[in-house]
Amino acid sequence: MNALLQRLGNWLDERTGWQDALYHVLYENVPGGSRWIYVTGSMLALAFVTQVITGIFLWMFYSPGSQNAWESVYWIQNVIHGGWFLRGVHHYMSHAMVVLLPVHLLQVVLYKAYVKPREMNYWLGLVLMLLVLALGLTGYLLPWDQKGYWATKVATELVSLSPIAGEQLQKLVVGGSEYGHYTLTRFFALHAGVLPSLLVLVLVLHVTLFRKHGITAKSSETRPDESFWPKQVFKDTVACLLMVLAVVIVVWYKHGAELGPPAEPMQSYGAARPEWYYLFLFQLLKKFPNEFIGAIVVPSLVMLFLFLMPLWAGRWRWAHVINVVVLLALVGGAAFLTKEAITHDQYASQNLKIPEGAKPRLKHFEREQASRRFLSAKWLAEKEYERVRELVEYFGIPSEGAAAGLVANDPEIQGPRLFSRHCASCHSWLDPQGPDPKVHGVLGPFEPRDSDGQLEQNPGAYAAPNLYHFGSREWLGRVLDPEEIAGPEMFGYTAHGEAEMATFVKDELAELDDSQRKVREAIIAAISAEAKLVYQADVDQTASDEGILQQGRDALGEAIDSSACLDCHKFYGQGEESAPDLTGYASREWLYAFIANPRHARFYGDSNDRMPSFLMHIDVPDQNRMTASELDLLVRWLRHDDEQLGQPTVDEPESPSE
Amino acid sequence: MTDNSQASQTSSDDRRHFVYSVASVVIGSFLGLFPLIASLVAFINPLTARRRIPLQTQEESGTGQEGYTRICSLAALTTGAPPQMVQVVGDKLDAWNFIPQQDIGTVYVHRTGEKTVTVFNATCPHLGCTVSCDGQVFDCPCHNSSFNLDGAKRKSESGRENPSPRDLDKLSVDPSKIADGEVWIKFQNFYTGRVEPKPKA
Repeated sequence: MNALLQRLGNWLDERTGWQDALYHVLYENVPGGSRWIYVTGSMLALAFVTQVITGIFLWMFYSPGSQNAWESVYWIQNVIHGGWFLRGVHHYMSHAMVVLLPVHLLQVVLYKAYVKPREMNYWLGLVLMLLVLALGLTGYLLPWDQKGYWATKVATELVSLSPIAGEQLQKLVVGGSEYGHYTLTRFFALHAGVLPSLLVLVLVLHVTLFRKHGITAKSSETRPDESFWPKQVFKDTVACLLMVLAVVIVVWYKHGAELGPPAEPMQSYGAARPEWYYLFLFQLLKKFPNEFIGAIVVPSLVMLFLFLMPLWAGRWRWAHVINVVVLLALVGGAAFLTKEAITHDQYASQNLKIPEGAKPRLKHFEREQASRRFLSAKWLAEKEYERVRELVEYFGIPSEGAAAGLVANDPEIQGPRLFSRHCASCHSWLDPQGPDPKVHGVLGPFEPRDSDGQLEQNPGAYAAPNLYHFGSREWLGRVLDPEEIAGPEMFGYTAHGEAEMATFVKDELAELDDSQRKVREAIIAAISAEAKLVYQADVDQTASDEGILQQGRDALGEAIDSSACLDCHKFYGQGEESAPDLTGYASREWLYAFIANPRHARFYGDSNDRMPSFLMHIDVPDQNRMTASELDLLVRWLRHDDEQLGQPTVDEPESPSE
Repeated sequence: MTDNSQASQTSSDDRRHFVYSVASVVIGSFLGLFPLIASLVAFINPLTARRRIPLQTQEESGTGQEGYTRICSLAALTTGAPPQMVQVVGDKLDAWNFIPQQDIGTVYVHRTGEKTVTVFNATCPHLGCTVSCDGQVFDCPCHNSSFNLDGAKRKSESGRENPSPRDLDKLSVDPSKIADGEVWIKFQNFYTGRVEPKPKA
């Protein structure tokens, strides 16, 4: 057997000379012996090989095209066995490469391996770095999720700023003036074809030149020279193993790479950020008043400096030291900008306490508001993705894709969007009991502040109630709570905050005895049951069985102190019409009609405080602020009718027994 | 391949050399195999995947016998007329897409008597082209397979070999539905090129 192998080896060697070639590679002299610091090149090479292999296999599952890209990645991530792991390895191995690049660069510069005669090889290394970064950028778009879509869109918008033929260049990159099928086919061809081929080509030159010049190392008296094999190879493989293990741990811990909800060109995304290793450029952009400087001039100058470094390093005594210092400063600066970008985005979640006595500056609030917007958008996107998963499981992905086929008609996804477009200039939708009530939901207007950052003394009517779980017992409980009704979460910043209802609640419900408190609870239960909320169906049923609902309905006409609910409100034909009708309060029909026209006599009538009528013109649909189907989606979301897919929604309200 | 320095090496150096070599080869092999194995686990998915029917479709109960699909009404077929080509409509799964009520296959329906209907899968058992019917025989346009109207493989008349290994694949028809005046079939595709029909899973 051995003899056969030997003969086969010899046969091949006569025709290829592989034995000689291998000998040269393995027994290359390492002056001063093997060192751990030499491993970065091998790690980068191994990472690239891993990317090629995993990338080719991912290719077998991926379909570029705006109705297929997200869908095929979703399948890789959630359906294909081990697909999440494969995608995760590809994703996080690219991060490993990006982390190693500056380390490798620093090592080369610190060891003076970039000066004569190795300038060419250093430049090839810089080209390799740019190619890897370009691979990262093009790969970020391919899943066609909201995150990748909007982050890459910004990057390609910047292309048009380039001084020569910017607009034409942008069209060539994007495949037209708008993002679409051709953007994906082009990015995919770049990512899987053009860039890797170039990278292989340049890598071959890079390694060839490296072999020609040998390792730059100081031979030392104490450390004898060694050959590459086996000690340096051993160190290289151990380092590579650690890298692979680190990637596997991250992939496992994060359950693969993140995937967001599918891209929607008409739906802006408030949490659009580039991949973390581009955050320093993102942050740099904000430092300059002009994008041209931040996105093109500064990065170009930095690259120019890096390219020119070896030219003066040999000519002037201190040039090398300056190069090292500048390079360290650049890496440090990038690290600082990255951290700053993350800190700013997370600002609101850090619960920063303003030091006692210190006057908070306007900047603090602006930063906090920007951060809250970011975090809320991110939270909503995560909810959207979870919802899309449910929709896919329940309906399957239709041929027009997940965005048009599933997302567009779903109240749970469209609701928050319609709310933020039509309602959030006054109302918020935030879970007061949620883990982070400042950002988990749709944000309403921010408190008005003066130029010093101080709260306006009399902000006036700038905000309307938080509509989270509108019509539920908790929500109605706040209406009938003397502490809350005129508070910031409810009617405090509307004209209703000082109107009869608020006065009544504050005056007459402030001090109740136990039996009166029970009556108040029964009233809340009875009105809330009118809504027929799915998520409250069980408690409604219990209250009905225990007679509490009937008790509450009866109590509407009885004065608590001096006045009764029915003195102003109507309920199944009884009572006055000067305040909103409580019949079917917050039910699907009631809410639809209310938002359509709150000025109707059935609701606020003349006492309406600036709430617009969103769908008043039945005959002239284009004069409405919202279409009938949009309003229906909004109402269903506010009530969470469709939270459980496939569950029948609760029936129309039963009329109370007389 | 002898080296001057090798002569002076001690046996402990040799041993260390050996350990480093073995460790490098073992770790190196793992590093090479790792991405390949991670990829192959996903790659073999077509062999292991099962049909994923969306929950909504699972909840909808059909009116026919399990696995049977309605293709036409009996009244649409004339007794003794040539076999009629009919598209089978069903839920189509294509990787991530679920497309309900799509054409998923082609069959020939032959009403041979008042209450008797024969249904053939239109796929040629030779290599999977779709056969055509001129009212006399079924002909395959690809490699000249040919079948009688009862689906039997024809003996060659011109001396040319009939390449089909078996008769046209007959599909099972639900007799109780025929009694109701409807044609319901169990639609199946079969592996081609073998003597015994074997349904594709």
